This record gives sequence, C-alpha cells and structure tokens, in this order.
Amino acid sequence: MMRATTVALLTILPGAALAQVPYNRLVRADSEPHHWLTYSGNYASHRFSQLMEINTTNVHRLRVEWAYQVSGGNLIETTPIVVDGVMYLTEPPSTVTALDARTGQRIWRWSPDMPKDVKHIGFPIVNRGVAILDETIFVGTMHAHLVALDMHTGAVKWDVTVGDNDLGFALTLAPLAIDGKVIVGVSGAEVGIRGFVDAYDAETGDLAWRRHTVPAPGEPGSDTWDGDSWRTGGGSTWLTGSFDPDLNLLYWMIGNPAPDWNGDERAGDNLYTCSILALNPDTGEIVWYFQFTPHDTHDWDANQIPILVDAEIDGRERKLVVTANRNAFYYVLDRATGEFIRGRVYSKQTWSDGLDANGRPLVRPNTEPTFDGTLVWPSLQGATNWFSPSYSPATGLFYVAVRQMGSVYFKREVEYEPGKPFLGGGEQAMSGDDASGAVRALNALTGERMWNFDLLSPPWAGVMATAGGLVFGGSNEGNLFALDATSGEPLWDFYAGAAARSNPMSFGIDGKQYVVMPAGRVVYVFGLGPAN
Amino acid sequence: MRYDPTRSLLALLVLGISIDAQAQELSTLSAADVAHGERMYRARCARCHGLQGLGGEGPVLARPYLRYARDDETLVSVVRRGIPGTGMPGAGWQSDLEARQIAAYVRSLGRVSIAQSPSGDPAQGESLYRGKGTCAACHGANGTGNQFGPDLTNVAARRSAEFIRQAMVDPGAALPQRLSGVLAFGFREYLPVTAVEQPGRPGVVGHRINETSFAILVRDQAGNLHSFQKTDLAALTKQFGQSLMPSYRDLLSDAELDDLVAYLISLREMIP
Repeated sequence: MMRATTVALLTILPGAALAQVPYNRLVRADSEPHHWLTYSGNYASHRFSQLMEINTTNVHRLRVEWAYQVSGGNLIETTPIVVDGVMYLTEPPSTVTALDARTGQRIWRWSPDMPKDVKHIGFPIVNRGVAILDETIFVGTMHAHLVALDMHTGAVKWDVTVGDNDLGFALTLAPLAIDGKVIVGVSGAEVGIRGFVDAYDAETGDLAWRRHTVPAPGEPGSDTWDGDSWRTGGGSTWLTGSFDPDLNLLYWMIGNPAPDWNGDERAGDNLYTCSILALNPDTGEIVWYFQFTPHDTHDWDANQIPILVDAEIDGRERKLVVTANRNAFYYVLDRATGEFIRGRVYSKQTWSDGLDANGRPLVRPNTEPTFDGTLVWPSLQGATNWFSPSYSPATGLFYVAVRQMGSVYFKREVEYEPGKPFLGGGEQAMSGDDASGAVRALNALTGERMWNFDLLSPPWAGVMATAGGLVFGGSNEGNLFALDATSGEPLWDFYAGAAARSNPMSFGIDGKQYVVMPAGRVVYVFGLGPAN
Repeated sequence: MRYDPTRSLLALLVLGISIDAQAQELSTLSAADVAHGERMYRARCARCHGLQGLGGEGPVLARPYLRYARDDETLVSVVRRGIPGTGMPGAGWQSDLEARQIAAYVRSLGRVSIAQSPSGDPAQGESLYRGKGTCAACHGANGTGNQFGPDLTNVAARRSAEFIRQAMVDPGAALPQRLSGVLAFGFREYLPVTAVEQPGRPGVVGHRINETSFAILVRDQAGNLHSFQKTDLAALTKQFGQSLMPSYRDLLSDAELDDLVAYLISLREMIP
C-alpha cells in the first residue's frame, strides 16, 4: 500500500526535469492514497481516504503523533496537502507553511504583505488551503491576490491581483489546479460585488479567462435581474469546485445574491446566484447551470462541495454530481447535462413544500424576512455550510455534517455604497439547547437517511470517510471523533478543548497512516499507538 | 456568511427620521427616531430583555444606570457589537443610526419610573430566606449557600420583581439561559438531568454543569461532581422545562412570597 522507496527517490531528485506534481499525478490522485494532493482529496471531491491501516477494529488506539500550533488568528479552516513527505497548510490570515509530515518540523513559511485593515466583510479571517501543480504551491489571500510559491523554498514565483479588496473582494478558498491552469473564486457578496470565477495560467499568472456569475444586460440570464441590480448582484464563488477530466467540465458553486435578506430591488430569479455552474475549463464558457434557490433572501449560498459520483440509476449508468445544499435539500444531478434527477430534504426546513419535477423549490408563503422578523429553518448558516461532506465508494454513502438551527430573519432597507456592507437585514439564530447538530449518512443516489449521529450543537467541521470503515469528524464543543461508516456508531473520540472548524484528511508515510484534524489553534496529527 | 459590525447607510423611510447619524447624541434624536428604535427593540431585543425592559433571559434595562453601558457611546457600541463572553449578541446588520435609535429607546426605558418595589417586607423575607423557605441552602446570596442554585446577590439587577415571583411558583419555566460560564451561549443553566449507568438502577440526578457531544458533567444536590462518557450511559434524560427547585406555590403564602421578593429586590446592587 505504501511506497516509501518511491517517496524517498522523489524527494532526493533536486531540479529533476520532470515536474514533481504534474497534472497527470493530480488526475490519478486515487492511485497514491498515501498522499493528499488536492483540497478535497481528488478532483471528484470525495474527501475519501483509501488507507485502511486505521480501521474499525483498532481506531481506539489513535493517539496524537505530533501537533502544530498556528501563529496567527483564531480559526483554522485549512485542509493540508501532503505530497512526498511534506505537508503544506495555511494559517490565518493567508500564510502558507511547509512542514515535515513525519515530525511536524517547519521547513518554510511565507506570509503576504497585506494592509492591516484588509477588508473581510461577511466572513472571519480564515484560509482553507493551497493547491499544488508541478513545482508550485498556489494560495489565495485575504487581500484578493493569487500567489504562486516555489514548493521547495516558499519563494514567490508570481503574484497577481484577482479583485479589489477595497470593494470587498477577498480569497479564502483553496485554489484548484488543473492542466496548466489555476482556478479561483472570490468572496464579497456582502459588499455587493459582482462575482466571478477566474482561471490563471499556472506558469505565468496571466488571466486565461473570467466568468462572471451575474450576467450583464444582453447575456443569457440577464432578464432575471431588475434594472441595474446585476451590477451589485453578489454571486460569490468562495469555495473550491470539482473537476471531471473526462467530460472536461469544471463544477463551481455560486453564492447568494446581494443584498442579502431584501430582494425588493432585484426582482427575478437572480441567475446564477445559489446555483452550480458547469464550466468549460479552456474557455470559461457556461455549459449548463442548475439553480437551487431562485431569488434567495435567506443567504443560502450554494458554496458547498459538489461531489462527483458514477452510478447506475434506473438501469442506466450515470455520471452524477451530488450536493447537500445550505437550503436543507440534497440534490442529484446529471453532471454531463445538468438534468435534475432527484432531490430530498436532509435536515429540518420550514420554507418549502418540496421540489417540483425540475428541482425548483415550492416556496411556502410568509417565509421571507420581515422588519419584525420571520422564524425559518434552516438558519442563514444553512443546514450545512462550506465544511466538506464525504463520499465513500465502499459504502455508497454520502456523509454530511448537519446544522439543525432556525433563525428569525429580519429585513431592512439598504443602499449600495462601494466597499461598505450591503446587507438588507440579518438574523437572530436559535442557540444553545434550541439548536443541534448531526453527522448523517445519506444514500448518495437518493438522499435517503441511512443513519444519524447527534452532535450537541451545530458543527463547523467537515467529515472524511476512509476505506478503514470510518467517518472522521469534529464537534463545535471540541470533540474529534470517528464513527463506524456503516452504522454511525461512535468508535473513538478525543477532546481537543476548542471547536473543530476544519475538515479531516489522511496521509501515510513509511506504511503508517495519519489522520489530520485541527481544533482551536492546533493542527492535530493522529496515528495508531501500540496494540497494548 | 457571518457579519461584522460595520456602519452602513439607512435609507430614509419615514419623514422625521434622521439621515446622518454621525456621532449624533442620543438626546438629540427625534421622537420619530425613538419610535423607530422602539419598533426595532420590540422585534430584536424584547425577547431577552422584556417588552418594557424589565428583564427576562437578559438583564433589566429599565433603570437609569446600566452596568455595561454607563455612557451613551458605550450603549450604542453594545447594541451594535454585543458584549463578548455574555449572551448579548452584536447586530452587525444595523447601521450606526439604527443602533442609536435602539439605544435612545433603551435610555427612555430607564427614565420611566418602574414600579419595582414590591409590597412585601424585606426583613420578613430575609428570615423566610434563611429559615422556613430553606432558600439559602442552595442559593448563595452574599457568599452563603452551597451554590447548587444560582447566586441571587444581584438577581434584582437582572430580573424584575414579577419574574422573581413567577420563578418561585414555577421554577422550571424560568431556567436561565447561559449568559456567562462554561457552556456555550444559549444553553440552559441548572438543567436537571438524570444519568443512568446501568438499566434498572437509579441514576445520578443533578444539574448539567457542562456537556459536549461525547461527555457530560453533572453536579448532584450534595455538591458531588459526576463525569460521564455518553457512550457509557444506558440512558441520559434532560428535563427541559423542569427544575430541581420545588415550587413554592403551596409552601408559602402569597404574603410570604411578597416578603421574599422584597428581600431579594433589596439585595440589588446600587450602581452610583
């Protein structure tokens, strides 16, 4: 299973003619499970580890092997990348650190030179990780730059401005590296940006294409915006997408329309907000789209990880993209065509009577935000959020961390001012004993709930399934844990003393499997202790 | 996404409402501003602080001096940013003007004379508290008691006389939500729980002191702490809406309840 010899050879070949992590290696990430090469583990975003040294029979022996304390900020939302014995992770606000994956010792660290008053309106100071391609590490920064670093030294190869931070643009996502290009999206809908997905030449940093997520007048979908509202229409692209090399399609999730909570000045469906876009990675052309929440007024961004699954449905082999949306519905779409196949509620919601044959929600009356407040489930943070779900090809199950929380939604008047919050209201969320969380296993093809594991409070941490029959996750109270992937039974837990706000990942060195789970300001790396 | 408290412009809705809120003193806001503040207060603040500011889950606001907001600018800041480490949330979507309108209304509550002086006799109440009522056994006022129940020294700063009286006759309905302490915001404090380790055997009954998804810490009435892994328990019951404090509806007369309320109100910390 492990390839220690190969690892050693690769690491001692300085300046080898062959790039260390060429595109082909990323495409075949599943063939080297002891590495973790992309944010979600593979282009299909399964966040599934094929390693099975740690399994249901021995997970009780997990112990901390080493830990890394981040230097700044309070929230770690990074998923490290591990390749050839080196771990690359990010620390808040936008620092990249390379560590020896065996011991945690630092190799290099790079931080951008950012203004102290860098804008981050609508989200905390976080960064979710890096991408790797050839010999380069790519990171997005809080001041909306995309930077390419030498993977061996951290030296800057190029640095480009993606958006104007003064107008609210920022990058918190891990970029996605594909063949010769780096794909990024932006945050900023709470400042009234007009969102986009960008592709940059991985070698030079030149912009290859930009696809706006809110169409300008005359473009398809522009009739779903009233007047000039498209100019400040939001549609952020703040989470890493997925990629199908065979179909040559990029899948990117789009955020809320602006202003949030008050849709009066933007009558219409507000395409392509709260949607998934299938993009041609060569041109940025929209091949198809599907909108989950037309004319959103609850801030239910679609920025959750889209997972690519191949399966037979009704006797037909289908290439699917599945997602658990913030609006509390689970969706199964054909990823070649965008055809809606199925949808199903996976968490408490009170805003819809279900989906029609095309997947459009049947919205209940009187669920809009009002001046005096309207109580609706889920809360504006959604039934789930940016933290990752996981798909196990072994069980066929889709695992998702769920937030069961209602909110009183308020609406207010707002006018756009460049660089200022563009918020048409807000919420008072249910809290404490009036809210709860869960890890749920859904049949990936139907959304049917197969098991449920209760969490005391709504989580902010994702999950990872493994071939060892486990699902790893974290709680907001500070528990890191492993559940039986088939039954949901808890098999191991560790109290880390502060909230888990990240996604688990796994790697291997010298035949030993490690599981990485941050909590508080610490990145914990677990491995199996002695048998007795 | 999450929100930062930052200023934004409020569109002019109603004639007479200020447009420019820049450093405008609360006392100079118009009646229409205060009325707008009242409407926002009723929608967003009254749930915890009561419609007339007489307290509930949150402290009494109908008083001239507020512990965390002794001057107007601090009050505006509290309305917008909340009080970290307490249950008071910030409301980042509010403009500066909206926060000032709410703050102006809150100040107006403090100018109203609230009939908080109950009819009872505080001295009689104190002897009931230490004697017949056995309150002091669990409620440490002024450093007494075993702290099984909440410290009542400053209860009148947080609760109205009406609330205190109701809590005596229906304690379960008045469980405080966490405002400070070890549990996260919004969790019920003094929640009665029963943890059963072996089926068929009596469990540990007490208050939840802390809880995670995997463990719970319980203090029994004798003051002993019990630490459980949830996976080790045969059953764990949380008695929402109930209290381990008995109802005094039938234990004390109406006049005695009034005396007790008067005593607790008399403990009120006097802020100069």
